Amino acid sequence: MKAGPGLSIGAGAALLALPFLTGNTYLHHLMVLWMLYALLAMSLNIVIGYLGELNFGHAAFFGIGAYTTAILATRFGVPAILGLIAAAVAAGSFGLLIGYVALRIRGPQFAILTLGFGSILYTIANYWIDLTRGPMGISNLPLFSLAPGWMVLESARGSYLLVTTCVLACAYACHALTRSSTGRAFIAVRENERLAASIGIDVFRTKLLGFVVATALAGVGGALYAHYIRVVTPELLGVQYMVAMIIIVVVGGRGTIVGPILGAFIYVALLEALRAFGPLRMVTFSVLLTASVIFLPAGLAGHRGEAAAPEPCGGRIMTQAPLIATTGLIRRFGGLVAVNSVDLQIARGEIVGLIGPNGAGKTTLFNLLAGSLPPSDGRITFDGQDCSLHTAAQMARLGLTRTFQITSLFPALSVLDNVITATYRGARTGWFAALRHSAAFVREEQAVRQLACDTLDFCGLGARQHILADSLSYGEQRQLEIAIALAAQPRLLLLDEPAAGMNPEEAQRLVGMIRAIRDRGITVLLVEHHMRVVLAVCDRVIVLDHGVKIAEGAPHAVIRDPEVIRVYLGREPAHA
Amino acid sequence: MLEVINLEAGYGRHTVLRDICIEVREGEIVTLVGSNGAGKSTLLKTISGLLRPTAGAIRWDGERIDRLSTHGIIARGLVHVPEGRQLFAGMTVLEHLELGALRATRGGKSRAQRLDLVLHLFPALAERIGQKAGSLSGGEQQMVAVGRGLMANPRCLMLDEPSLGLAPIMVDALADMVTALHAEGLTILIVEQRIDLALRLAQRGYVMETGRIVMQDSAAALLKDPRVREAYLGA
Amino acid sequence: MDVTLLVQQIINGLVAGASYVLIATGLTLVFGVLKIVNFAHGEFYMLGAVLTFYAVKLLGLDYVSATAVSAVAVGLLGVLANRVFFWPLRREHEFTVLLASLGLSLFLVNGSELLFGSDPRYLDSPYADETIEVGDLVVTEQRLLIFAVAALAVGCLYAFLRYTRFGKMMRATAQNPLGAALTGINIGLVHGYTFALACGLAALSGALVGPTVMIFPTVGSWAVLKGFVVVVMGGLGSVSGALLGGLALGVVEALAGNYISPGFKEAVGYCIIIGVLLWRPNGLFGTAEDGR
Repeated sequence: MKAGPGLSIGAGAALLALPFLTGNTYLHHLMVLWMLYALLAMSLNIVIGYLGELNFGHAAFFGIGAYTTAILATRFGVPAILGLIAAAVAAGSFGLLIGYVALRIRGPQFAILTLGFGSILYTIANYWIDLTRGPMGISNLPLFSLAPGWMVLESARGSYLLVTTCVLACAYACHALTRSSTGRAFIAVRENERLAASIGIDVFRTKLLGFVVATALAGVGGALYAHYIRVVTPELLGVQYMVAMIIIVVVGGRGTIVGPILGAFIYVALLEALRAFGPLRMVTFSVLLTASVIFLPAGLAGHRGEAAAPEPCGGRIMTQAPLIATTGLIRRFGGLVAVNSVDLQIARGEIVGLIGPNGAGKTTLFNLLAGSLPPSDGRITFDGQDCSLHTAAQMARLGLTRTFQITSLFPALSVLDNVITATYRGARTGWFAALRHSAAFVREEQAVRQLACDTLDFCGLGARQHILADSLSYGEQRQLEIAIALAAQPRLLLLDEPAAGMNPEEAQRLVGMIRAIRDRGITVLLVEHHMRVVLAVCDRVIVLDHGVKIAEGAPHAVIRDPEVIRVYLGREPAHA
Repeated sequence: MLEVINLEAGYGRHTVLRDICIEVREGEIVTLVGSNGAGKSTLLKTISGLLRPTAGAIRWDGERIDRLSTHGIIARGLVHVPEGRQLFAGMTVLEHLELGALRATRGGKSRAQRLDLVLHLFPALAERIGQKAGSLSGGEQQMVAVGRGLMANPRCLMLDEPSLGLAPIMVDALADMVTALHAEGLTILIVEQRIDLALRLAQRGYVMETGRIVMQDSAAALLKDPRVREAYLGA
Repeated sequence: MDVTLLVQQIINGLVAGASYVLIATGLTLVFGVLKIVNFAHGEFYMLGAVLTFYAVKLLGLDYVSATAVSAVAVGLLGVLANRVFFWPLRREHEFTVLLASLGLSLFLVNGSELLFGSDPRYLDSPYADETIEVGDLVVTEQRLLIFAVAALAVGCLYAFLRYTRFGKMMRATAQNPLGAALTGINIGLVHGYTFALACGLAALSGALVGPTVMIFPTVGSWAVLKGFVVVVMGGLGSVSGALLGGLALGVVEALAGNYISPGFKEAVGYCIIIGVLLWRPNGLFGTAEDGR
């Protein structure tokens, strides 16, 4: 959140002091429920809010945690504190397994797959009676204690302090996460998977990491819940807990730190308050929920771009440019050959233009080079290394970054955060360094911020750092795309129609910018329709038509080639 | 016949079109040229009711149509054949033509006559009438898209990049088709990237750049105007 | 292995599968045409059963006409739900739409609990206790009816989609909404009757299955889970996928319930779906249309 550390610490202390304001034990009980729900919602928020995947099986991990500690405690007399750790490990391991399977799939299928997993566990909890005692559940769990017989939490107030401490620790961990390169990778994946891959983020591994952390945390929540309520039944795995958690996250504000705490408060308080409505309680509740989804889609703590304070800039990157080459590159779509035996070579430090009429296969060729599409045949080498089958993220890590024909940004982040996110490839520290707030982390964050400021200044966006990317003008968005690509520190930059939709002055500025990019030692390949830009900036031009390279050479020579004029202007050679 | 007056439109908060004024008179072929991203397709989408203008007006035979639904506009005889054809990949050629006739204007030719006309214009479709659109070649798909539009019995046809992705020989056929449709009495507004082709077919033309109309003149004059060529080839 | 028992289980499975098919077909139609994952779909199944119960009890209709009345009424409710909920949200983020449908589902469940109470009810059908015996195989007439009506409904739906003008408009909208709008198809109307059809089929399923189980307001959430399993297995948006997926799930569950353990038959269904998705992420009949 955008509050100073003092305020956050104050709020945390106030939260801990809350039960001492009243001696009413029922209120204490509600407070414990509030914090337990907040903890669970925080874990779900990592998946829904940061990774942007709808997980309907989350209650299952909560249940795994609860059953793990319940079985260990009642069968083997394992102390609660060890049960807690075991619960985290068990839930996290299942999370790894399920995530490994399900995260390959996106959208509704993912949601339903997780739902299916939850239902399997529900069935097991009901029918594997030897282990779980079936629908009756496991009762008489021992109260939570830090060591056997020591500091037993007998009062609700004690439990509240324990759970609230966990919630606060979790809030700090989420805060550290959002400030680290790991957290930026999470958000990049949520905002724009394709762009995330193009700046070198391994989308699948990032999701898996988030999923495992979230499930382990849900396991901890389940264990705490089990020792507080002291009964574990299959209902914990059921639909109603899943729905409750989703409601809390969505109403509170997904992707925020206080959102789950706020949402859990509203959930518990509202259900209590609505008791006055008697039988209308649940109906009123569902109406309020639906209305909040429709009218407040971002939730109560809904996030805006959280821009950090600017810091002085400096530093530049110089790299020896490599050479990319293709031989006999072919890509078929069904019967259509979009790219047909293309051989091309780009030398270090060159600016090469790729032109041709619409539908000539330029973008397909681009996608092949960038690893976004696998070739049907042929080879691509980058810096002498065969990378025909590399993914986009792998190519990005080698030093090839691209922009997209249709503007592709992280729309809900500030301009500065867009660029900071793109420095992922160079990041050495991650979440754990951020948690410890280590010196290396602080140094690196400073360097990253400097690099981002520098890149923004370079791209003429220095004054616009704190605006949401979504609210930039069209021309500025295209500049920001280039800034993102540059912040990934490429050796080869692929620009897909950078001048499309730009007015003449903007196009002129773009020409200067591309030259300056090359002067930084970066090789540039661009697809462009704006001939003035191509002529002004390119050292060499390659012309494609129907997937075949039909001409190649100095720009002014190429556009006088009668064959090029024919494919470009219509059926007859021009006579101007 | 079709008048666009001071039109402003875009996607969400992004205004793409600014202060657009164009006119298409009965029986004309008018072309709209300009580089990628100039806003040509956005203009056609706004005319056909897919996008709502934020300012200005669109008149058809004097009637305001800028608040009508797309199917209401089609029923008045103004039909948009979109870029990229937008066919239904799993449906047959005949089904496309049947659906095209859903909102046919009354009067003029009967449905059967129109079907005959389309199959006469595009004999290749007659052979593939039962085939699914997804299995056709690019040129044949373009014929289906135009045929589907013609089945609505339009008085004005708006063609968006009809030559896109066609082999050169098909582009010639396309030019012949436009001439033939015009001879049938249709008014045509054509958006085309191959400017020589477009300006040779049309009587008048508009040049668009970054969401504005920057030039308008007779097609012959635009064809000679070095500035038009420059906008494309820079030479 | 006892062949009679095996055949009996397969028959039971096909009957259960037929009811899954009716639910899943509606879900898949709504997904195909509107690109919406509708969590409230199961509630229309529940309403189908509940309204049939009241049509018999309060209006004094016989079971068959009560079923027809309830299917039509729920179909109209579906049109209403689309108008009030999904049409205004059609340009919103998929999360918003999905959660709004979850909200609608909670509202319908709790609303029904308020109106009709949460006690289980029994829907009487004249066919529930009559059995037909062929050799050692026994089937109640009600189960036969479920299968026959489901087969008829799916057959009619197939013909409707294939040959009627409205059906063609639906297919066109599902395949390319932009192209459909430019062909002159009224998209709002198509969405409306897609919902009418989908909810009507769900209600039909509820009314048919009602006499073989107990009815209470939360049955819908189990029904929709089954529907989702079938739809994802068959491929979102594919009617033939829903048909084969539904029957397959019914048979597998019946066999698993008999040869493994009755408790675990549900879990077997989910294991299959996980396997299918790993093998074909878009389902058996799914197309990778938008890949997003």
